[in-house]
Amino acid sequence: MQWLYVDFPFLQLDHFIHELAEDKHAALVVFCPVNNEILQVSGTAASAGIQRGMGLAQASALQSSIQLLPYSFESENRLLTLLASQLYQIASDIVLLAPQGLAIKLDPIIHYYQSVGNFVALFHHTLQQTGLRYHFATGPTVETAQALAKGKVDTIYETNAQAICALQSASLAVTALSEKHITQFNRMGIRSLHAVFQIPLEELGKRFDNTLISYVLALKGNKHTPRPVFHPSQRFQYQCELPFELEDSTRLLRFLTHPVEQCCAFLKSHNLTTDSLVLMLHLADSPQQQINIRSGAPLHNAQDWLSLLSLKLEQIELTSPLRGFQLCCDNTVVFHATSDHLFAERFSKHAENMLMGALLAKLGQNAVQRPKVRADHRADLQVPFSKDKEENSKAVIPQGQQPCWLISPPRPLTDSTRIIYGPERLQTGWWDNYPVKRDYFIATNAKGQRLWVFRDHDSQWFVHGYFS
Amino acid sequence: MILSGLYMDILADMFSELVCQSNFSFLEGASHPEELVNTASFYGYEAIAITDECSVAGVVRAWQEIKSSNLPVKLVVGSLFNFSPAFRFALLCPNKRAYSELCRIITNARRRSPKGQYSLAEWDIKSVRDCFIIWLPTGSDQDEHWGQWLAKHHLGRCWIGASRLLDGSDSLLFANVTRLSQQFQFPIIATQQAVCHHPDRQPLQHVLHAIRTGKTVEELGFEALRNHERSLKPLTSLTRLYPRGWIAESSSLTKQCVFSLGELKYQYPSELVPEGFSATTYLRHCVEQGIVKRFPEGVSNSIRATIEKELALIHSEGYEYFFLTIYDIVQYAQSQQILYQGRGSAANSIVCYCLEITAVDPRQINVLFERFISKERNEPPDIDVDFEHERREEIIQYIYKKYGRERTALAATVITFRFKSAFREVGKVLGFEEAQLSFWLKQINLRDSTVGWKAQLASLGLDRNSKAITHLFSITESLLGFPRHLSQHVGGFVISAGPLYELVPVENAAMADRTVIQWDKDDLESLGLLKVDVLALGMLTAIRKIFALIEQRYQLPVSIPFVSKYGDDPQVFDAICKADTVGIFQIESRAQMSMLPRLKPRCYYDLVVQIAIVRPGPIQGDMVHPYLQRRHGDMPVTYPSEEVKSVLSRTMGVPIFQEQVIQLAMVAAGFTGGEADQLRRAMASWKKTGKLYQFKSKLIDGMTERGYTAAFAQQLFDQICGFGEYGFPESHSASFAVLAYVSSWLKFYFPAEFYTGLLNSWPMGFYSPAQLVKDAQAHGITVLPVCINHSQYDHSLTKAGELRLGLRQVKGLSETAAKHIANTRPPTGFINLSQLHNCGLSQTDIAALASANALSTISAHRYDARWKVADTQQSLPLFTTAETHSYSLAAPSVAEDMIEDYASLQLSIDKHPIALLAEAGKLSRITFARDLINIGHKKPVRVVGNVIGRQAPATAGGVTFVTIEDHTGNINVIVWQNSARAQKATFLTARILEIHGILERSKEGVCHVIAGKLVNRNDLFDELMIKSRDFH
Repeated sequence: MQWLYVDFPFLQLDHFIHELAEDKHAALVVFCPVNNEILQVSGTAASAGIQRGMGLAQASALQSSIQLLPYSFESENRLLTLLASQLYQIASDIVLLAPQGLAIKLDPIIHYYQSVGNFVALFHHTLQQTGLRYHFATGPTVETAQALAKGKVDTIYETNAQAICALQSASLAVTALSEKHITQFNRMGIRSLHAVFQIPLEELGKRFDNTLISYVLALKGNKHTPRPVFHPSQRFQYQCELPFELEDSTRLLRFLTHPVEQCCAFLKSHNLTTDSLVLMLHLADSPQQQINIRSGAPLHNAQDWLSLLSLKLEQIELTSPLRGFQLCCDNTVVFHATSDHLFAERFSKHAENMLMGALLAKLGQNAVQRPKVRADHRADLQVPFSKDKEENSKAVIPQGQQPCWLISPPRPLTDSTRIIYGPERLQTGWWDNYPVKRDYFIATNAKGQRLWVFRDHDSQWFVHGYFS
Repeated sequence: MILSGLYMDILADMFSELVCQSNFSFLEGASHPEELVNTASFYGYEAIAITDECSVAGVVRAWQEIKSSNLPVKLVVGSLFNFSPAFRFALLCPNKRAYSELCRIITNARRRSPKGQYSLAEWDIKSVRDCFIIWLPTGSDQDEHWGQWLAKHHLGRCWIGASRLLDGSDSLLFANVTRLSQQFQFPIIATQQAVCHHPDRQPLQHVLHAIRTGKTVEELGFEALRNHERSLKPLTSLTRLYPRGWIAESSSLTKQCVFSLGELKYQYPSELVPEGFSATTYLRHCVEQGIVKRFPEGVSNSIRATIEKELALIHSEGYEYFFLTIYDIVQYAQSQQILYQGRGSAANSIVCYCLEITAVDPRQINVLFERFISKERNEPPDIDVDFEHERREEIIQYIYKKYGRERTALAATVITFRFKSAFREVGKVLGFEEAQLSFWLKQINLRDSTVGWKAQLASLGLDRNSKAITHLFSITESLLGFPRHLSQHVGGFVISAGPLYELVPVENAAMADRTVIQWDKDDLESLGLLKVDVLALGMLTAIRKIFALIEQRYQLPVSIPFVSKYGDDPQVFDAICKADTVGIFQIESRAQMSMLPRLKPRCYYDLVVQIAIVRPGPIQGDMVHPYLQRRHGDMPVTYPSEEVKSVLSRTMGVPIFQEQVIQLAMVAAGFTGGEADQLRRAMASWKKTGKLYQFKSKLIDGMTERGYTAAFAQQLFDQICGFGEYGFPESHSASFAVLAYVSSWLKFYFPAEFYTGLLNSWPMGFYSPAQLVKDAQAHGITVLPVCINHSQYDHSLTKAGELRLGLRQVKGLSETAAKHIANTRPPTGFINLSQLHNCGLSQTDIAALASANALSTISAHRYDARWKVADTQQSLPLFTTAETHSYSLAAPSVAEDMIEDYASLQLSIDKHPIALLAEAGKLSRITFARDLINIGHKKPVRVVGNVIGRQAPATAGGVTFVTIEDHTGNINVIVWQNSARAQKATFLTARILEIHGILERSKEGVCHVIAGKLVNRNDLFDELMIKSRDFH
């Protein structure tokens, strides 16, 4: 058995630089705030002297203009899955070792490629397009190949014996041994795998637990650990955190190009097509916003979808800055070149979207909104309307005398009125763009209506609502 | 001017705000007590009550502000309580009895709860007999119940507080309080329940509220104050809001409150004075006894005259009990052989010398006690007593036992928002990401005096015009100096005759079994209350241990007076002048060491100056160079006037000590005693409050008016700023100099005992055990390794005077296990691992011993020992006799041994890393520390060493002082800011640093290397490790 292991030590950072960064040469680091530790370092940051394992204080002392990316295990995991999906086009038995590595079983594919060399050439070609830095090695077990790849040998060994031999000079730091075990070995003067391999297993067994023994056996190529094999998802989903907040939706297109291409590649590889994409926008100060992009007929061409997206993005007004997005493709159908009834058959599933789409087309973007309730002294902000689907039904009880029927925006008071209650003073909202300074009163007009009126800081009078 | 009828009416209806919270209602009140009383006075209020929640922590500041600024407003002391959401009330103190009652209630409520909380019982409220109650009905259906309850228990001393806060419930509330008032016959007073002095503080109040509840300001929602009404308001506004009767009632209630904090008088514990004596006669008795002991040959007339003068001054100020309290504590310390040393303004008097509070012989130092306690300056005497740091707890327990916990508590320290905490907290509640805030904070260099923090942040690209950033900046600034919580003072005890809680509330501290009062040292000073400082000092522990070792080895009863008796020893001062002062108290830092050869101290008083001169005060005030020049006769000693001469003659015309600066303000700038006292306090906290600048013009004008030059005046002001929080008074320096001299004497005459005692008292001082051991070896002392069969728990001395490292040095070995080994060691020593297992040591303990190479007598080497220890089967009973190991590991190389030594002992007695590199031929054209003497001044030099310190003092103008160490000694390197910036990566990350630079030698022989090129040589050691492995 022969395994090829690929290690992506800078997965999150490289992906960011390749796909998202505006300045590819910025001093970028992936930072773990919990441990105050730099985990991944870009070339520019490394040349400033920043190294993995440093704290933020030391790193920022070395380079004051560093850009931080908070480390995300989930994000690396997603990227790894995406990579596996891409490699699945050229290899079958893939094992994921989250968050930064994957292993490919070479034995079954040699049959298809005639030689390991042919496959490896294609493998490099595929990975080079991702822009990720990686190290690789082969070995009789996943563990052997992993340790060699982490040791950056970047070699395809002709025989497994060569791999085991190469492993002898590796230090313990490249292994998957726990920190505790490595320290224990170091304190006995054992710093290389060569030294570990020389110790009789029986002696190791007296001193260490079974996990360690199994691992050593696997490193030596004597034990295969069963691992689940990767199966690509039947659904396309792509998620991305933007490097900076976007205020203008059209600027999102640049970040969508690659995911849409991947989506279309996914559809083609599965012989699928779709008539709708779902773009979920993650906004800074508002709940996420869902955008449905529909085409008249099923499409699987990236350029077609990008043109549609471009048109759609022009219409979108962001309610707050955009931090990230998710692109999904759920409504897929098997691609038949002759089929032209697809849309009609699936109509019921799209009913809601169709209605929303029709409403949006008829009434315009700003006219279709859903209400939600928020705790705020300022009545104007208590029931904001939002364009997202999420409803906030949490009961919020406003203080003071306040009518149910509000006029938004408040209207200048023109009736002659008589004050029957008040004032109720509101001076707040200094932190956002809606500071208010008002004295509210309840007044009656000649028609006997009870009005909620206020006097603003310029002593101007307004009607803000009616009591039933 | 004709006063309108309305205004006349207002004057007739004087108003008092009787429910008002300052920022001592932590994270609720948004104004300082001083701001509240100033505003109340400005608005013409008759009185203001500071009623913080279950606290009187802010009242002293309000009282002091009224007193010092002569404000025409009366302070009523009180406190607010939230018994339940439906029952809120404030207690006010009409008289001293009521005040004691309030303190008792607060104490009870606080003592039942963990630090920072309180829990009031119904009984507490029922027990009120003297306080006035202002009930604040909430409009809930429970008002009826609490109205009846109050009417039943407190009729005649209960008022209703009514507030019109324009929040939509005013009419309901007015109707409710009117009904309750009629029903229960409680008069109504108007109150805004102010939480700030000005409406502008609303954003800060919202921010505090959000910090308290852990939300963002936006998330506060309806919880947040909806308008500015809960602030102090002008009388004209109040008359529009409230019926006249309610305003008038606040005034009539105020008139019944006659209590003032000035009435509080300290009652000293009476048991200090035996029957048949008065405090005065007993103090004299003790002093006379002391004279016999301290001056066996009899006292001279001049000393007798000073003693009489001091006693008369103590008597006239009524400080006898204070001296007797400290006398009692030090007597106890003596009885327990706990070493101590008094210091402070009064400690260096002859009376204190006779009472054995201090060992500073007044004949050695021309101390005028009057200079320290001055009637005119009206400041309380200051005596701090340092005790051995390992045994201070015994003294604390003695105080608790003697006076009881009811009568003893620690003074508080008010923890305030400093820049970083304020910035972070404000940023969080304004919705900024924590990681973003941390990043910004890390970019700010607060020591950079040229660019302010706002400008530094703006240079990172922050938009100062954006609304969020403007709020972040302005609210952070307002929050600076706001109290956050009360903490305990390091050792300031307040002891009273009766229960302390009748004088001031007592609450729980974070530390178990510690209680703190609600006032800090400034508050205590304002009220003229005395505290006794019981502090901890590591050097005293070390000195006592050294004395014990000398006694044990030579049967020589050495003590501080024993050393002092011999006077100034020229040989000891020779060593000091050579800066051979590693481990010496106060003069061991690098800055002190570079000054020693320049100042060349030759007597005790020189040490007093030496200790005080290497401080930011004299350095920033540019006093060091003139002093040295005058001392070496390179500059004439002149004085601008006779008055100045009287103050500065002992320091050759240059102000060095804090007292001199204060005295100069008095004699040269015409400050009164009271003003000088305010100046002293402002100096102590000027970084926090910035109050010092208020004195600038007065000081400079005062001096120029009296004929001094503006430059001299400015220089003095600069020095006052420099002294600030780092000020060093002569009275403290004098006591420290005694310990500095004693430790130097011990190092010179008994070096083996000196290092052993020092290492046994660690952690303390400036140097790590590794550096102390290296210094010991450099002084010819043989250091023996830790050994399971020879080491005690502590480091010890062999009969031959070799220093045997103790088991305490082994990292990862518990103290219990180490002591257990020393106590249960077989007479023949341990001969195998099983014995260690059998005597109950854990696997971790034995592994720690193995790595420290302490098992070398029973195993081949440390790796082998560790390997054997890891064999779990060996610890099973079946294997207790036979030890079979079929596989053995290779022995460590010298380099590996050294690494293991540092990892498990934090020191190595064998090779230094640089020595190893030199032996391996890795270093070329390098000059070692000991050979620097052969390099000429201004000649190029290459040095290499372990980086053991990087210091960038604010006084050094961007220079970083780097200390590197090779196997022959330490090398002082100066790295200019530009060199450091250009070679940042090396400068910040190198552990082994090679420096190509220029040697600079002062005429006193002090060598510095001015760094040019910095080379990171961390790789050299890695190479050595690889090489060493290749051999096996």
